[in-house]
Amino acid sequence: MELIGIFDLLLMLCCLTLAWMALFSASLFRCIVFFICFGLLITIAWAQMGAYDVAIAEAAIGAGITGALLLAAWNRIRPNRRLHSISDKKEK
Amino acid sequence: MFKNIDLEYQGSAVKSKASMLIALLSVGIVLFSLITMLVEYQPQVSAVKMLVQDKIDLSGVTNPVTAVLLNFRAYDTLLELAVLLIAVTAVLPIRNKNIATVQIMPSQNDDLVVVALQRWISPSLLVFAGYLLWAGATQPGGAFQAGALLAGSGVLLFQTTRYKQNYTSLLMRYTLCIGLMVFVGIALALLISSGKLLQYPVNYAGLLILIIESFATLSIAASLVALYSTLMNTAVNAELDGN
Repeated sequence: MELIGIFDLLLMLCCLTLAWMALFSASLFRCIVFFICFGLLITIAWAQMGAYDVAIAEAAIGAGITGALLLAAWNRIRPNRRLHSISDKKEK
Repeated sequence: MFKNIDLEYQGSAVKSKASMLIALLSVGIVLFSLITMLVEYQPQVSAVKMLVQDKIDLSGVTNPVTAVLLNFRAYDTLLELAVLLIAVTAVLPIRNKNIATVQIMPSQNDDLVVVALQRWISPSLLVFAGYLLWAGATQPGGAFQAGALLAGSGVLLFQTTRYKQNYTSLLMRYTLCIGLMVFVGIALALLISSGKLLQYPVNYAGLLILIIESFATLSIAASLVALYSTLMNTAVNAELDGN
């Protein structure tokens, strides 16, 4: 089996593992971080299939904007949020 | 399983172990068939690719994706911009046109790393978005990618509380809908002059595509940044104080 086939197989396994961990992780913050990592691996998958425009859009929108949006939403629904600084996103 | 029939059974209707086993088996079967299909997939040269490559000279650009998005299926892109505008209109706050579009607040004690990152990366993101827009004619790139990159730089700038934005000011409202306005204007002009919807004259196709893409980039960036700002408390009409 050639090297690119092994790379594809590893990419698939990593995507599935990250998707599982994005759904079933212990805390919501970890799920969001895994979702962002999943978006970045999907960018590599798109590039591997030859669709470079979709890869650029996936990196910018799927991992960048959606990730930041999810983190901002998580910051709002945390049970014990601190009101004095919005740049303080440490996990409680 | 049938050892004792309990007349007053008050547990769940299904046994959790059995249902988990069935779920695991079905997931395993679906995964196995999907992976087998993917491994044995032989991609042929699709007919659409050949068709696009044949007529690429009529489109004014050399990137097949941009040719399809902005010339051969330009109507779909027009409707896409309209859908984005409708989505943004749904999340805009109550109209308040007296406050300026961007207000600079005196900086509170912001994290030095975030501020340094903003100062170093935002200008280069601006230049890179302009390059993606220009290179969309010949390489992967285009309006959506450049707009998404600009929105990413906007998201970076909103991580501190230095800027307060008003998304319902006159300038912002025009920026949000300028992409769709230019696209519809060009479509109407073409309809009036030649009678065909969105069929660019071959000499001016590249120029028209560049004009449409430039304004669409502005609109897309403004829309995505507005969609993000509904969750941040730097927009006007926020209910939190102390920021």
